[in-house]
Amino acid sequence: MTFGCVGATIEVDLSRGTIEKRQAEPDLVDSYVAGKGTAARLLWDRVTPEVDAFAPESLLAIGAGVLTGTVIPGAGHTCISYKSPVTNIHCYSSVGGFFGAELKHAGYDTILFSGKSPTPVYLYINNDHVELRDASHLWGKSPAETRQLIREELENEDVQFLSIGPAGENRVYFASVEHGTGASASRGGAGAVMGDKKLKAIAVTGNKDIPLANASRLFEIGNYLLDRMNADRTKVVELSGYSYVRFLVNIGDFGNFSGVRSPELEAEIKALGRKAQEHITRTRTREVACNNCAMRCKHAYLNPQGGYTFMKCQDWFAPMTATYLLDCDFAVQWMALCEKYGLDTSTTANCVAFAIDMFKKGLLTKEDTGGLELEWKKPEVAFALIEKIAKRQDIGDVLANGTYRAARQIGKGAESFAHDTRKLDLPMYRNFHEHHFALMTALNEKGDPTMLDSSIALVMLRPKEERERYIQDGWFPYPRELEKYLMAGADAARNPDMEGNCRFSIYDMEQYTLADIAGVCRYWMQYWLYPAIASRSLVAELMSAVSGLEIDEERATRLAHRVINLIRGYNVREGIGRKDDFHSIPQHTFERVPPPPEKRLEPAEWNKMLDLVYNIRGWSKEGIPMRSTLAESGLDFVREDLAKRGIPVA
Amino acid sequence: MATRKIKYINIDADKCSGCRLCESICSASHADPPYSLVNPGRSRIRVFRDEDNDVYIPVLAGPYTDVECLGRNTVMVKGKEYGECSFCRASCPSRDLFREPETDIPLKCDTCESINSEPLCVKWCLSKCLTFEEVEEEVEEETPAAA
Repeated sequence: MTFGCVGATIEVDLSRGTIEKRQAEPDLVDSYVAGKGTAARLLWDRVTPEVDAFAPESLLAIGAGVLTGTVIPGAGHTCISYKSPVTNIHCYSSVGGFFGAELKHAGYDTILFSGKSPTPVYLYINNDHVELRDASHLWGKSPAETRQLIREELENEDVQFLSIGPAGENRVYFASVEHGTGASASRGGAGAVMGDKKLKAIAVTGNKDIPLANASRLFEIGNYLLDRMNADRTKVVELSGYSYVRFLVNIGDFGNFSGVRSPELEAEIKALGRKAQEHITRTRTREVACNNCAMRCKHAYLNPQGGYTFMKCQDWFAPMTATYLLDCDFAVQWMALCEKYGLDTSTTANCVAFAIDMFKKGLLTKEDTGGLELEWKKPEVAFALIEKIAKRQDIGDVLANGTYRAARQIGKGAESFAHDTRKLDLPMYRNFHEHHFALMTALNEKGDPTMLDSSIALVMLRPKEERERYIQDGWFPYPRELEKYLMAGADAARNPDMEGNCRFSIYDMEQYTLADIAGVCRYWMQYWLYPAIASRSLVAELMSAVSGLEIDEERATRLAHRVINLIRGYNVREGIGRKDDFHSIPQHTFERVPPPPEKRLEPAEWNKMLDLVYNIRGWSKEGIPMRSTLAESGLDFVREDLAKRGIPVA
Repeated sequence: MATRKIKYINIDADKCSGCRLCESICSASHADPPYSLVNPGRSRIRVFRDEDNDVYIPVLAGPYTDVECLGRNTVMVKGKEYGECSFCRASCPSRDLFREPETDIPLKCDTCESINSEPLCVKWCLSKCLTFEEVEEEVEEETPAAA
């Protein structure tokens, strides 16, 4: 028996229709533990550069975190790892909700899918019973319909799901894997990989105990975290009001990253506050949470077309900024439509904005769009485009490949209007010139900074006394030697000391990597506006208390280093290097001047930051992990493989 | 007249976020040895969730019954329809709820008296959907049987 189900694996070969249950090798669990960690190693071993993202050998690894399913508040995450068809490198999408916990109660923590099924199937797990079932009747159905039909078919209301919609079936490059109540694994194309494998859904139910190695300690810490969360939660409440939507829209870039706002638009943004307040009062029915979480970050809203839609963050501002249409009901309907087809809201927004922009510039015509006149501020145009993308109809077939590829298919200079980060569509933020934000974009393999920025950038701006109190009250989650950088504060352009910033960013990246191994939400790790709930030593202790593995702060740090360097090694093997990190933020960051006191990011400055992070990370100037770095992380096999492929490791 | 204390766990279903932390803490705290496992299947409180219809109802395990209802109806509350057994607390033959997964022994909420604690589901409910109330209630004194 393993504690916390760590390493209990189901491997499904969809080509052959075989299912194998096994306990992961002790070495694998010891070195990579769970979730994103073990998946990184499996992808390294099995999805080499010769294997295309859509090849049968390509692997879809679904891993619940170590803490997922325990009583630890906020621990409900499941990490889906795969080679992204969009970026062609290692990619992960994390999903909250209840899937991971239910998987643990069925007695497993990892599901691996390889191969391609000849006909649509879904995987059904009920404790020890695991089977592939026919999904022909579910093909073409929305994730919600799929959920309902499977529940009826199995006569079990407790089943938890991961499911794709029609977009995933059609291999739309930004198809999501939907779970329900607004939880989905969206960015990177996990849905497209699932659809390519003809895997419609995974349904799991279980009523087994999750055995815990050191339960009393776990609950002691759980109680402590509960108090911290209560304190932190007030921040969410403050944000739930009307100013929240306006605040969000304000950080978005309008149109196809136009970078310009007319006085009329500014006035509209200002007026949005009151409009949103009215909308929230009228239509918000509930604050909804993921498994065991008190943050309740998603809220249920009445959809004008019936039913309930769960909204947060980008679900609000992506549709509004992409179409210049500042209307809350429109955003809710957009989100509902994306969930119906199984699409990533954020990328969809980018694609819709790009298409309208190209139409306005004359690079697309009515001939391309099936007679549709593309226009800003028109909900019917936006909804028609979403449908075309999901069904891959006329222009939708081009847009469904993401703006990077769509622009190259359209040609005629469209390439210069497409904004991507490692070929993935950029989320529609306008603050890539902020150093911390830019670094978090470059440091993570996905390129997308969403849910990776951290509150330290904001704390930095507070008066000195507040920063002192922040440290004294135990909210500063970094090592003590970084305190001096916080106390030094930020410059007039809101940027902290460069070296301090690099160290904060690197530590944040490690924290987020540990979060995906532990299965805890990003909200824990001082994401965005929220002070950190747990420190690294506490996360280490928790993982230890659940799994029985001896993990302390130092070993957790080594674990994070190992996984980060392994994933970097993977991506280097796929051809990623310094130039890709340099261009992970949009080109316009170096060209546009933001309103004072903020400053434009200079290429020289950006290069210096990359030098610094590479140096701290132990990577060469080219962004390749050095021999000593790999050796320290126990990754000599990475060096050997890279050398065999003619990639020099310094 | 004598008094006795009656313990109530009040439920404001409008506040429930559906996080199911109450289920986790209940199953863990009642486990033997305490806190050795987590399993909502063993919990004496369950959250009935129907996200498509905005229904989230925590239900505390009530007494066991060995018969099932004959006529079950749907109920309309504040314009929302609730299913057959949505509010029912009984462990009964018609569903496998509120019973130990392996042994089928019925479970009943004891407001954490058996583990000498305040009700932990209330303590861990951060949406304040569950609240605890102790009421002094007058009871008739038992009179000795007439000679």
